[in-house]
Amino acid sequence: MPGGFRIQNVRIEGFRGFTARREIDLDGSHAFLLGQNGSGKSSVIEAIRWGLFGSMNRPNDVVANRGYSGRCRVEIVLMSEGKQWNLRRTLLRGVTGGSDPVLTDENGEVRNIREIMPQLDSVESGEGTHIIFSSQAIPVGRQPADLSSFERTVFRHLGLANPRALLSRLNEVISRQELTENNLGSRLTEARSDIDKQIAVLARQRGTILRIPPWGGECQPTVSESETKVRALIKEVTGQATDDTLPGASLEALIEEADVSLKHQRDQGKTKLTVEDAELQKRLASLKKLLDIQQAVANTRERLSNVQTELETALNGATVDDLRNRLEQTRMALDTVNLTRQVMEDVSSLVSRVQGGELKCPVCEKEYPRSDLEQMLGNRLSELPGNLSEELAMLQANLKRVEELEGVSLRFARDLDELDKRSSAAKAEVDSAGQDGITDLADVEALASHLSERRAVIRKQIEDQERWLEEINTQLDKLKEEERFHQLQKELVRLEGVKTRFERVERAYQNLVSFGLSLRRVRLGVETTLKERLVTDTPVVSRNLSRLFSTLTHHPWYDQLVIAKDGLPKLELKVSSSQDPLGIEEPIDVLNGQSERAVELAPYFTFGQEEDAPTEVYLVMLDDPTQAFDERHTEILVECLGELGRNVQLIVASQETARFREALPKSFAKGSYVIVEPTNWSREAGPELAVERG
Amino acid sequence: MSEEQPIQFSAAVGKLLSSEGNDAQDLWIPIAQEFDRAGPDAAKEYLEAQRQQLEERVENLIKEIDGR
Repeated sequence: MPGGFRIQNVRIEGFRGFTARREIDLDGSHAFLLGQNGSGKSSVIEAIRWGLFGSMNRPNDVVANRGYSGRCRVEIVLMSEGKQWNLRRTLLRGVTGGSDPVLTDENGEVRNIREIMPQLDSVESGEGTHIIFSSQAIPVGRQPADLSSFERTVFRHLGLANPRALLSRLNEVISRQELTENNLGSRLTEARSDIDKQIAVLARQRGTILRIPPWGGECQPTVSESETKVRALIKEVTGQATDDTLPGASLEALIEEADVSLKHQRDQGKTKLTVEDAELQKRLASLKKLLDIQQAVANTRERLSNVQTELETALNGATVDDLRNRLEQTRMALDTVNLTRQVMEDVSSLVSRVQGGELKCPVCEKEYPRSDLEQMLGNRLSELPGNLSEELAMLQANLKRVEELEGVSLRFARDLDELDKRSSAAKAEVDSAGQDGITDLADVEALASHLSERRAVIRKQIEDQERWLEEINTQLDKLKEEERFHQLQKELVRLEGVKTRFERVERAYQNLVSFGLSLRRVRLGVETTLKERLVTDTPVVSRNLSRLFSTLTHHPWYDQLVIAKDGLPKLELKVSSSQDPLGIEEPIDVLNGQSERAVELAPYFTFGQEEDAPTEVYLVMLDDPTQAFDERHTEILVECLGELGRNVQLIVASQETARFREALPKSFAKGSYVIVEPTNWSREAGPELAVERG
Repeated sequence: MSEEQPIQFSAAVGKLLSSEGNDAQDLWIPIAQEFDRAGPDAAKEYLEAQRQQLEERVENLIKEIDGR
């Protein structure tokens, strides 16, 4: 067994259900772990598997016993080529599931596992059944993850593990290559499209400018010529004497300077004229105000004069007091007349009521003939003045009118005073604006006229300046358009350069794509060659598998296991009948559970019995291989195990304790195996392991 | 059956690729050398290095353009 090993001793501590330290002394013999489900036999298989290979990506709490205070550890003593090796694997703290394997030789010196036992480094660490080949049969490095356990076994058996691994590696590289090709291809397509779009947009903009060129009918200017034009414009705007504004400045900077200068000029010129215009406007407003006041003074004075004339007419040389005295006298005269008339009328009434020819006058008490008395009374009544009422009404109306006119006159006089004050203030305001010596309305009107004329001149200057600025602005706009044209030209040249450089990128990308094509051709070559080899070699494997399968199952129809050619290089195990070799079926479709299990086990027995050294198997671990087997088939299986055990160390777990105890002595030589039974399970220590040598 | 076959295998692939064209054959020669010398992982490393070199060449040229 060159390069192979035999397990001599196993020590388990803190692994899954094992709280206490347990030890199994195999001394290189086979181990049959027998017991009920859950008794701990599978944990022993797992512990050996973990001790040999470790486990990737498994949380610690799945491997370690949670109640155990010490470290989870499995120690395996191995014998290889007459030398003893100690492999101790300790679970690392944390949750990563990582472990620390240490291999020491007989002298206790630590040795590199990969160098001494490379097979341990190349076998996958999954659970279940394992078949361990000797070192010559293993590929360099780990087997591809995309292969099933069966495929890995067959490829190793056929010596094609490395070619098959090469195919997987090529697939990995090609996958990355395809991702890169797609990614870069998309980016380059997008970038190329962007460049073309940018060029198209800029060319369109340039075309728009060229349809109505800002330089008119002249030749297309150079950048230098445009710069000269902008400098001339700046000179015109600023009035500077020099022709060389901003020496060395770019066209863009010159345009910016021209913009700033123009804005400055516009603001400054406009401000000066506008201020003057506003000042004139203000002065004109003051004059207008003075003018209005003076006009109001004249009007008021005229109206006052009219009122006074009318008042003099109404007084007619008298005074108001005269009028009032006359009115009072008239009112008193009227009262006297009225009283006299009342007396006379009362006497007449009395006389008319008295009888007789002679009557005594009731006033003077003289005797008068009636007729004389009546005559005298009538005369006296007729002598009383009759127009005193009209005269009184006329006097009252005249006095009222005079009083009204006096009021109006007084108000006009007050108004004139007020207007005089305002006139003085307005005049002072006008004087303060530098217009001394204004004395009358004519002066004011003359000055207003003068200012209006001056203002018209200013307004015209403002308009002229705005017109000039507008013309300059138009020129500047054209120069800006020229500058934009030059920018477009420059950007187009730059993009054309980018486009040229981009072609280099595309050539480099094409090299990458060509590499990908070659890579795919190489993969096809490898795959084709591998298929050819498999087509030649797999029938032998199929025959061996069929022989074992037939022995295990004695199936009445399906007695052949074949590796389907259709799916090569993928290895798919199918079943068929020797009576109908073309009728190839999926095992799951036509077999019962027992036969399906036989399909799974067949490769391990087949390859384990190979005598050919390079494919030699030296350890097979089977966890519950008799699952779904009846008694007869369990016996057959044990017989097969006996055959297999001649070349290979077996570690087998089964719950068929009685059947195995009965069958094992028939197929295995005495002393060639041990029976391990988990017993006396306790919560504190887990199971004890009763080891019995068979 | 033995694991001497890689060399025979790579020779068989080379023979097959000789009819495929120069590019694939040219690429296969160094792959086969690495494969025969140190196994599939070494062949993959060689290819991956070649692939990355070509990819980086494209990436660098793109960066060069982007930088301008």
